[in-house]
Amino acid sequence: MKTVRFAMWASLSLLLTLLLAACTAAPVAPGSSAAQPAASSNEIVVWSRYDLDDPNDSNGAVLKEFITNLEATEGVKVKHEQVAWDQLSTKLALAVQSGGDVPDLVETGSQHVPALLDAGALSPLSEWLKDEAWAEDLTDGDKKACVLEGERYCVANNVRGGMTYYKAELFPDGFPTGPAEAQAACERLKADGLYLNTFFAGRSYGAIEINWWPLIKSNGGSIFDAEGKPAWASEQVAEVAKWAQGMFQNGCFPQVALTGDFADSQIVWTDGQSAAFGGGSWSPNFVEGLLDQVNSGQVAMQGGLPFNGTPHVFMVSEGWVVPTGAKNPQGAVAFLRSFMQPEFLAKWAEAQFGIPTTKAAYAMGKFEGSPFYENVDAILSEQGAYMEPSPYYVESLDILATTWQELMLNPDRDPLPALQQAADEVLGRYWQ
Amino acid sequence: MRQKTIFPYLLILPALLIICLVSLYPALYSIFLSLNTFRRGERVFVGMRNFEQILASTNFWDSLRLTAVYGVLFVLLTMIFAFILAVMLNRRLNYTGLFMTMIFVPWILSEVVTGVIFRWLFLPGYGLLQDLLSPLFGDIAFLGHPQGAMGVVIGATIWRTLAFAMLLILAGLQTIPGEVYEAGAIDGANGWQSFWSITWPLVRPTTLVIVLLLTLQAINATGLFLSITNGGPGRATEVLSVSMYREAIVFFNFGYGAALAVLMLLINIVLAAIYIRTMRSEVVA
Repeated sequence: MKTVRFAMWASLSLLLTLLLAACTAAPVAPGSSAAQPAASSNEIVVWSRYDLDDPNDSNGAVLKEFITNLEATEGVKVKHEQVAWDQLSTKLALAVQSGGDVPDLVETGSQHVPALLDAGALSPLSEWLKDEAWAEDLTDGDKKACVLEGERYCVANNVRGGMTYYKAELFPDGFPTGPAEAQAACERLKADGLYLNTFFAGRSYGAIEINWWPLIKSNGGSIFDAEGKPAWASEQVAEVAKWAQGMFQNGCFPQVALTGDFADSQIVWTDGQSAAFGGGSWSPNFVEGLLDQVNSGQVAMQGGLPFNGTPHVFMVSEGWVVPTGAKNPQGAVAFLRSFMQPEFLAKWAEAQFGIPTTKAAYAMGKFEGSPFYENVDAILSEQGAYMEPSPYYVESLDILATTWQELMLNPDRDPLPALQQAADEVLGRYWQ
Repeated sequence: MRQKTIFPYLLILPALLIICLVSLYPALYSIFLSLNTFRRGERVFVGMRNFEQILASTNFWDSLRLTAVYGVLFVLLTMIFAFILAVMLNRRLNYTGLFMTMIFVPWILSEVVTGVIFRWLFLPGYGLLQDLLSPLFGDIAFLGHPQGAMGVVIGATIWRTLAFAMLLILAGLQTIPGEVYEAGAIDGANGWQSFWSITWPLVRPTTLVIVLLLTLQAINATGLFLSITNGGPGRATEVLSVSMYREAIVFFNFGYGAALAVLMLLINIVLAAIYIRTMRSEVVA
């Protein structure tokens, strides 16, 4: 009797579960007609990293003002959703792949565009934007990032990049110009109880992009090959890792750079314990007073450390993409049309501490004559480079960042075998 | 008569629907997902390949080992401290209410808040406990040291969970009649003999329940790991649950992540089965 009753309840539960499962919408393959209905609503769905309701989010405030004006002037309704910056691209790819609701516009960085394109997540824009006057004024900062194989897949609105900020009085001869000079400067600064540099070096792809890849590239190495497969198991990359291990072991960089997050590594700079700080042109957003210190000459700016060749900095064009399956692509174009007008674009680029991607916006803003922006422009023009693309960009760099962090915390560990192991892991997981 | 029989079942039907919706359906769907992978916008049935990849991966076995180490240390230390506190509070000392409040404050904090507190307490160069304790451990930076980072997470988990375990043990202790201790005292039992021969046997069933609950909590712990170490340094605190989170939520590799979840489910089932068997033999005894 007990067994019969248990079987009855188990069967009923299973039946209910199957009924619930049947109620789930069936996934639609991207590219099918069902995934791209004609625009039928006045609503534009936008994903970005900003919190429009946070008074401390200055970029969010600018975007909120733009959206309010757009709704009033164009008679549209904008539905904004905040998504964590490091999840924007992967969440977009998943939304498209699962055939669920996709937004009409997503903010993304240029480093994610090739992977999103490979995932079938991006709509081509050349045809939709061919009659837009503002598109004629776009600079190379947009075209290099967004036009791939002759087709446009994104619209970049500003260009930013990695920068090193250093206290001018502590480097009377300028910031070190090579690894040996960096070691010598470290010894000098250590005597005064200062770190040479502080930066984020945790187990996140951002650490590789901003801090390590420029050194690797300067040393003739690369992260990805032409197909996007790991190419970091090389002598050139191992040499950079060995040098970095020595610098951490020697106390030139703080431990918190490895164990903290972005904000934790900045504290070492704001507390006056580090002579330099590795961030980006976006850093004035997060480090109070940094812009004033640069403009007054108290803090100087430097690009990458020339490891054994030309210095490089990680460069990124931030912009908008229209996903495959967007319900209101015409609304997305209308959004872009207003966004890219010089008056607003200049304001947006200033809030981002980046260089706008149209000449008209550059002329309209506070970019000329400002020491900060002149430095940013010069550094990006001379040293800025886009990261090598990969269809498994985030996953691969996360695995590399984890391995790199382990190497830094275990300075006696030989880098090359560890790098090879990380490469094998990526190849085994994603390329077989 | 038939309506009288059906009516109770109708009353519990809404609860059953909710259980199916939030527990059974996700579990069955996870099992389904674990047999698939998503590549270039398409779901591809791969059978047991995700499981083969996981079992062939050294990272999985490292995560399993870390989960076991974390689980054993967390459960053992929590039980020891909880027992000591429960025995002390059972003596109805002065200010028992105040002590109970102090012990319960960590329990009401969320995991993320607790994690951020502990991360700041052990931040290299800034953390209060980092500065106080590192001379005792060779001046290490706890969050940058593999065993140190795990120790910080274990400490945070114990700090947060102690109240729960202590309360259950205290409830068990308070069910023991005072006459049993009086009888023991008459027979000449000292403190340790009273504990070993009276307290421990009578509170053991309660202890087994707590051990099972804490073990299941340890296997599925994610929040404190993510907020204190995020699985680092390197992979030193990447336990199974963190690995599963990373695969499914960070990389959106749902098939692989679901396969990890299924393996964790199997581990939970085995442990629960061991507990049930142990409980049954306790009842028989």
